[in-house]
Amino acid sequence: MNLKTLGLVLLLLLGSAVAQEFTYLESQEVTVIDPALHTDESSLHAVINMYDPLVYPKVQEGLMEPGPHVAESWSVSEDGTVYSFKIRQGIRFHDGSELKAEDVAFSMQRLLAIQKGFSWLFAGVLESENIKVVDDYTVEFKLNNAYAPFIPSLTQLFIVNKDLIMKNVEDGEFGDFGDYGQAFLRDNDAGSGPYIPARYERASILELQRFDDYWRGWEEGQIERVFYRVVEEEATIRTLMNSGQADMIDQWQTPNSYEQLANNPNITVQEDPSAQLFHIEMNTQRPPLDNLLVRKAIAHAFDYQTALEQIFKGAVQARGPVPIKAWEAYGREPQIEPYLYDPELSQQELEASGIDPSTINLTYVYPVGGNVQRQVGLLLQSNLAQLGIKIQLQEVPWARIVEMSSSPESTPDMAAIYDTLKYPHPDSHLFGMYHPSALGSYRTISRYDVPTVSSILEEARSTIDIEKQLDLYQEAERMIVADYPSIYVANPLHRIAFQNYVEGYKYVGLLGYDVAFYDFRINK
Amino acid sequence: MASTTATQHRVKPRSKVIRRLFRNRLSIIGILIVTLVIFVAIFAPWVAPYPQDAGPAVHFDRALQSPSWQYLFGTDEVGRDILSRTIFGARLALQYTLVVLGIALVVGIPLGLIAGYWSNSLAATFILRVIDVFLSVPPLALALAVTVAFRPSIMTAMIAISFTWWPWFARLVYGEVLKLKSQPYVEAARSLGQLAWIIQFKHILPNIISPIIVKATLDVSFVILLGASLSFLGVGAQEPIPDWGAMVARGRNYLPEQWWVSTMPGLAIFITVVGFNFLGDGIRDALDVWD
Repeated sequence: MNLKTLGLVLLLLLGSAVAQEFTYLESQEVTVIDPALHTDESSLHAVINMYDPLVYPKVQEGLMEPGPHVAESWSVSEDGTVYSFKIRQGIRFHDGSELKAEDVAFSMQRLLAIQKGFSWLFAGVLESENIKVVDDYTVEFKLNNAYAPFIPSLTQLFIVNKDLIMKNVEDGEFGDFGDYGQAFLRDNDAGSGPYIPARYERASILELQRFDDYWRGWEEGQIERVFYRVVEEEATIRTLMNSGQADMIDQWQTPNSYEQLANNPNITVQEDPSAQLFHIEMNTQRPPLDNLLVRKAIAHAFDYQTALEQIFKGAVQARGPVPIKAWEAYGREPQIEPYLYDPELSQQELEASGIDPSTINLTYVYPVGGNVQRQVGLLLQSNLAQLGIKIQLQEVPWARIVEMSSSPESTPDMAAIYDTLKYPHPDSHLFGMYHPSALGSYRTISRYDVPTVSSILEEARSTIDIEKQLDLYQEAERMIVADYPSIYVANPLHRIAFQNYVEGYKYVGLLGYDVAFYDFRINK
Repeated sequence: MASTTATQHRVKPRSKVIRRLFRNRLSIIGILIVTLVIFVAIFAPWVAPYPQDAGPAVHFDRALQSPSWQYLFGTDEVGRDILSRTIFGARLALQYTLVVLGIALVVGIPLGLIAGYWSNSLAATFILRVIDVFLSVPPLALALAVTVAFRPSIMTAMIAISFTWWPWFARLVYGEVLKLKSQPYVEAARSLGQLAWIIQFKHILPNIISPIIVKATLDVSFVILLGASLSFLGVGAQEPIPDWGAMVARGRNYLPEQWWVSTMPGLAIFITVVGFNFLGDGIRDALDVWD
């Protein structure tokens, strides 16, 4: 073989290797890769690509509604409490063993026992001993009560390999189960998903390698190797994207950045209405915000139009806590009228409250680096200055916000929060934010606790008839919005940027599920 | 003999020092810059073209405009005039430098005097070890720890920096006192039965004032830089307070396209720091402290 042919062969090899590699930039570190611990988007990305959930949203059809995945089909008993799942045959874990009903039961028990991550979805809903393995391919869950969002919430149940984990347990608090393999899963995986982690450093990179025996099979153009890199600086992310060193970037850049990237003819910036809520929670337990009239005055003093056009650069104004998309997924129109910018009305409400505005001094908390949240804060600050109300902006680390909201004393007056749908159901943004059982998280900084609303929410959860159930949720939402626990600002546009040759990207509104690398095709 | 040794350490006649200061070209530049910064800081509300932009104000309709005659330094992402904010930033920078150096001097000088004057006592050992402990921790790390422990604000940042700053002065004073305390004029004062604190403040302190002045002047720039670093890291000044470090930090998202957002306050830091450094060097040469 002469040198020329050798060169050609090398070039071909190199060319083909490059075509299947994919670099994704994420600005938030991948804190965990354990499917019982994940909570935020980046860890969810890791889990979605390494594991298979019991049910999978129909992303490719553009729906968030869950469809069959590991569970081939399911049935529900008449009273809505017993769910029976048929498990698909022939799914292989990364170590070659087969995924069986036993593993599904184990995964749920593990999640319930560890009580972290998304276990709150099932707390009080399902007890460990009510999970039954009927045969190798059938598993049964018996719920405490009928629970409307049960199937949607199973998009957060990822199946782990029981044998592999039990072989690797260390001493821990869970008796026979030791630490339930938490130490093992800190750096390893036990999944059946399309990718296997090749390298993982939480603050810099997650490298994924295609799992050849994946049950859904592989075809031409799919990604073989993923470099999921953590890059914090926005300017760096833009530069890497513009120079073609990255194939796709996350959704957390400022609108300004996407505007600039869209000017590059090689880059697609995809915009979708998101199932996300941006709101400013107001602590309804602390004076003077415990006064409805003061909250109302503040909510009507905020200049929504400017925020939507200038800060969010095109977003839909939120109509209550539930993202509009979540209602639409169930064929419902949102029935809430958005709050309006009406300085006169706020002046009247403030006077009616009898509180001297010059005595009001509130803190507005937002996470470090939250550029949009900061600009919204500045806008609110200047709007409220017109009323004579002072607010102090405070930029604090995200972990600190989570910690502050855990107790009534440390909960801030106001906080700017992005809240994405946690499971495809309005329940996510009603029960999870306004039922007292959820108190103590960043989602409940308003510390809303109204018994009549709580009982409607409880009733809705246990109502089997879907239309009646949705009516109840909408009624609860109406009552909540009339109490002004938050300034509901926007359902922002979801923006993500990728090179033109990336195909198959679909956004449905569910956190994390849009970045499943298995769905993408490279067409160079 | 005794009197000549003493005068060697005395502050030079003021006129001579000033003459020497003005003979040095760099120190003239330093003086000009420092005068300008101080002038701008004092008269900020009158000098700044849009003084309300230093407070809670937003004008989204003119966001991110490049430098023009109307907005000499351009505008930031919420439409505030960067020149006005930079001018008010000078005020802030000088304010916290004053506070930090004030605290550092008030705490550092007496401790240094005590440790130096009674250098064999238990108190001296204690003070020196505490100084060592403080100096062994990098100032930025210590200041970060203090601000994170409390709520991030301009006040905590200032206290945090003062916290890291006094040991330098204490140690400087300690060394100088050691040199002077066995001088004949000090011993003379002691043998006359003068009280210890009077000897320290009346006889020793005036003779070690020059190195303190030089260090304080040079330190101004370090304090400004450290303050800016803390704000840059998000634990200093909060919006809408126009702090240079915070302005640089928030503007860097807009690099390189909207370069002016962080470049302008960055230049302000740079020029001010250089100005104080030139002045400090000039004063040192003029006073000839370390010759």
